[in-house]
Amino acid sequence: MADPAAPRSPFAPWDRRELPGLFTVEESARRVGHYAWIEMRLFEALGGWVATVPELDVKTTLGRHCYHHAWHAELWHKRLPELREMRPERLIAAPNAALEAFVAALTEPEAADLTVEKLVGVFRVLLPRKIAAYTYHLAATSRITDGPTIRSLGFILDDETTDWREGEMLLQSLIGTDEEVARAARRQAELEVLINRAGGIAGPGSLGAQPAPSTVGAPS
Amino acid sequence: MRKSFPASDLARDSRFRRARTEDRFEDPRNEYLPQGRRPGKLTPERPDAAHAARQMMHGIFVGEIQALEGAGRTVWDFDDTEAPFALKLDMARQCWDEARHTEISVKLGDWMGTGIGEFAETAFLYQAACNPDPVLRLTGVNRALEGLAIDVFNTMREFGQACGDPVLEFCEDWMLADEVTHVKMGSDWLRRLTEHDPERRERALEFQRVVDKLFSFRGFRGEGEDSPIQLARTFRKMAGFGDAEIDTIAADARDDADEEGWKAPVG
Amino acid sequence: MIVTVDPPAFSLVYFDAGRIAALTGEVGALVGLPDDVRVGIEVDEKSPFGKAWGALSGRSATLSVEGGAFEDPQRLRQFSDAGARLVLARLLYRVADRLDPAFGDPPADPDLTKAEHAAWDAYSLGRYAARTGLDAGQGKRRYAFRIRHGFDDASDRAFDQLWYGSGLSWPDIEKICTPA
Repeated sequence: MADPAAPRSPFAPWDRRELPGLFTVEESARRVGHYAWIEMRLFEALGGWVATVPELDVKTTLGRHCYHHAWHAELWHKRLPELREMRPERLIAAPNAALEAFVAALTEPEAADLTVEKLVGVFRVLLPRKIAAYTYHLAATSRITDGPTIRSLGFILDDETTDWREGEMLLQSLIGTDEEVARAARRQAELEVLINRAGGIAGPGSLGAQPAPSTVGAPS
Repeated sequence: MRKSFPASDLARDSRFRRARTEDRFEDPRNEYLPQGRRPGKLTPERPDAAHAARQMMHGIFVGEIQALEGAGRTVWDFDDTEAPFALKLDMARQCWDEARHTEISVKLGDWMGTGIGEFAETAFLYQAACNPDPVLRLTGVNRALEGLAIDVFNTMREFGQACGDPVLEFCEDWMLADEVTHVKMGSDWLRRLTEHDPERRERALEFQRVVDKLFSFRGFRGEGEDSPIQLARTFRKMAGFGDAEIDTIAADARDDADEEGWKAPVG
Repeated sequence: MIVTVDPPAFSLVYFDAGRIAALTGEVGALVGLPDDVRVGIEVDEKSPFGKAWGALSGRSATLSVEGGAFEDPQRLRQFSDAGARLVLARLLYRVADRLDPAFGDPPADPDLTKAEHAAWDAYSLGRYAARTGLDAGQGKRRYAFRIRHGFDDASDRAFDQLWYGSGLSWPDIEKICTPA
């Protein structure tokens, strides 16, 4: 057995975490506020849609996922005061009007025969964007100083990828004809345009430095 | 998506059939029902025990779907000024619970030999979840309806125990635990949201009483030996009901049962 | 088989006596009831409950049915062909068994225990399922049987013997249902 009095590094031999990170406290808080906002909009929409979808498996899946995103929103709410934001509601907002427009379009379908449109918006457009932004945050932030955010991101990303996989499988099981494939693709393209104009769930820079999105056709 | 979603539009697949509440009350056979001819408490001793348990199971199943839909609508219908974020979190949690209960009910229906949509569905439950005031909605759903769910699950749990059905007893016990949590949520939010508004609290409690009376089904739920669903006093107390409140529900159920005519609800 | 239905016309429910008679004839033939047997169906249309039982006197059977037994569980006061067929199969197999001297001498319907009812119903509907290729509500009958005979493997084996059985006598049924 090793000598208990022998000095050891505070970092285990395999622990390669480093101090530097791309986000300041303020930048991290800004992003977390946007995360909270989109998680809230998403769990509200999923809850509202439960009554509008006739497919029982979709109905129960939306009910389950509704709670996942509510919990994510709660985690981000709790994180904000820890990031020196004592009035969290100040930061819990859309990064820009374009993302608000995206959410308005995402939540528009209501009719019982629009399940594919509802699911495409969530699972082929929004969740991939969330997974991307969260993964970027995980990769870019200081792995030591921003430990609590990283821990939340781990839980949330685990949910998001599991839910995305489940939603994608639901979609594949619902889409049967060429026309339905086209419908899903049309819906995805419409919403992709909108979220691309927004720059992602945290606005431009959701994935770090990236070309400014085209403003052609964007609302002024 | 609209901010208020009527019961008539609830989305269902082709197996389901909606029964009109009026049809049940206007059934001309009601006037011929002999006094005292009630199915009675759900026990294995009833000759129709299997059928009655299956029918109740199907009622639970559609009730869970509607409870899921109702909780989901509360998450969507109100903005942050009408319903606090923490309330919506509780309702989202309830969505997950009711989704689980729906799944459990489908499996239990299979186990008992019932098919999805075998019995007609009424939208009683969801209608109570359409109140435009979030406090009234929460009180009607989480205290009246989830309170009824406590009674139903306890009745089914005891039925499972009595006839030695380990699957039914196991599942109902788990669902019962969730329902106690939901009623506690309702009790907590009623207190918190009406702390400085006694008039609103009174309106909410009155709405709860109306819903409770509706769901006493002319003695269908009560403490009488002939009530198929028995009032579960112990679990209701765990969920935050006071003795006086439970006494009122029991008394209302007795009054209802004494009314002439009786018709078991379906779904 | 001679079939009569009482009442000849219904006013509280949307039942048709002719349809009930036709279904009775159809199921009776499938069950193998002889042509000389008289079957009288007495429907209590006032009752939404679902009790149904039979009595045999010589070559005449009387089937007493509360209206709810023939009612479509999805549609209030509407007749269910499928449901009525199952009720009739259950009752008419009993009539056929009672008419068969080789079957033995079971108690009259009101004197049967709940466990005996469940066992005979399983045997009757199992034969109906075999003759028609329909499911005939096996899951429902198995659950009803378990309530009376136990939620264990022995009970399930007994149910399977009844459901898939043929040529059983009343003593056979009693023996199958007697725990070892």
